[in-house]
Amino acid sequence: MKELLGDAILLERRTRADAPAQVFRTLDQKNFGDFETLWRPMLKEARRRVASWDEAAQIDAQDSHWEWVEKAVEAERIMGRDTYAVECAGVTQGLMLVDVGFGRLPGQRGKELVYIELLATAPWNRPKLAPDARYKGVGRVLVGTAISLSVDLGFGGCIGLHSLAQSEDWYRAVGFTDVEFDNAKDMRYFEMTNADALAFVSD
Amino acid sequence: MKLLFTIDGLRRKIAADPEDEPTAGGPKGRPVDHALAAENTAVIGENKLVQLRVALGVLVRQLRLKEGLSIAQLSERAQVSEDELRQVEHDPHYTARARLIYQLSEYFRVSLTTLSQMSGTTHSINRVLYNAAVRYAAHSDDVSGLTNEEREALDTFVAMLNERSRA
Amino acid sequence: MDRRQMTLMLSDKEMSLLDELAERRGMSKTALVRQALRLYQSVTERLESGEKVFVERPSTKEKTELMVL
Repeated sequence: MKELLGDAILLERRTRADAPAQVFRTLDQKNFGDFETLWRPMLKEARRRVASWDEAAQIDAQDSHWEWVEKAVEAERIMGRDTYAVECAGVTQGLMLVDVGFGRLPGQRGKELVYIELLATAPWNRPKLAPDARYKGVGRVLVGTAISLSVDLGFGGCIGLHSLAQSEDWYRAVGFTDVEFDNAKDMRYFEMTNADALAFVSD
Repeated sequence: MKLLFTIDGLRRKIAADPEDEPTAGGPKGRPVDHALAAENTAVIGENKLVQLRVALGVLVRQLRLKEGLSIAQLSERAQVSEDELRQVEHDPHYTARARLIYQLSEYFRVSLTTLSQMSGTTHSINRVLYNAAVRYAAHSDDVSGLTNEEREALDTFVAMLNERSRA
Repeated sequence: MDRRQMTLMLSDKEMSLLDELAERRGMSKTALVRQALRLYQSVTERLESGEKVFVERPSTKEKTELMVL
């Protein structure tokens, strides 16, 4: 059952004003509907305009996240697997799917962590896809939620994820450690230690 | 569960964060059944590749005919080159460029991964897919229209291709 | 999130084990029991779907079946 976890804010890019947002656990039809009727058409349209293969790959990855709808539905039944949504102005702005994983960094090798399996932001929030991109901060809110979950589960805050090429700089900039290039997934794998995670969410 | 960030903290940090929004996770969300995949996957030998491309040519031509399009018309609508299209349909020694496969997969709504396997742009092919593709191509005739049977076989084959991409 | 309560009766040996594992894994006892439950569900699902679960000895590549339904 969808539940409200708490309040957050996003930033209106144009005015730099606060935009009140909500974080939910467990997606519902509205979230799936927003993805299908609002996100995907814009992703398809953006693909026609892209200049580079890299960008196209990123759009494809996001668009093919339709597969996660099945996974999200399954997630309700599987322990340790959760879905989250950020909503603002009554619209789904970001989505996340997490599972329990195990650390690879030397200091936390084999220790449980929250693994972010999928993290996606609505295309209208991305400056590279929309010149008049709307909100900033969805990524931060969702990563912060994953860290909160990690603490709640008793893992101390550590999280991990695989990043698409274009997002690698973002993760490095906000405190993730670049662990390695993962051949199996063809992506770089990043982790946060407990200390980095707590720094990420603190004021 | 308690959210550990505060509104004030968010406000300050979001403003300082890099501009673009991040994405995590790849296109294939499903864990792969490695043992099964390894058993049924083989590196493509030259004549298998030719067989697959024959099937790809048949598939593209039939999809085009089903919509009643000429090569010129399809090339315009799918935004691909006429020459390339002609070669894909008729020359099994031709290696289609990734972009062409991509545009066709988009236009006809056929799974990109399976089309890529059929064009030989990946190095391995699933045995089940290979057998189905060869069987499908063997049953088509080189005429300029589609019979009802061919239409049915086409639909079944495409459905199977898209189904396989979920596995 | 709704929370429900259960009282767990454990033997001395079981309780010591729980303490020890929780410390080794760096988690509270409750957190550990949760993860044990998660692991149990994961294995059960696989077995019920027909898959097998093995452990492997890296040095010899020798495999032993871990659990049978």
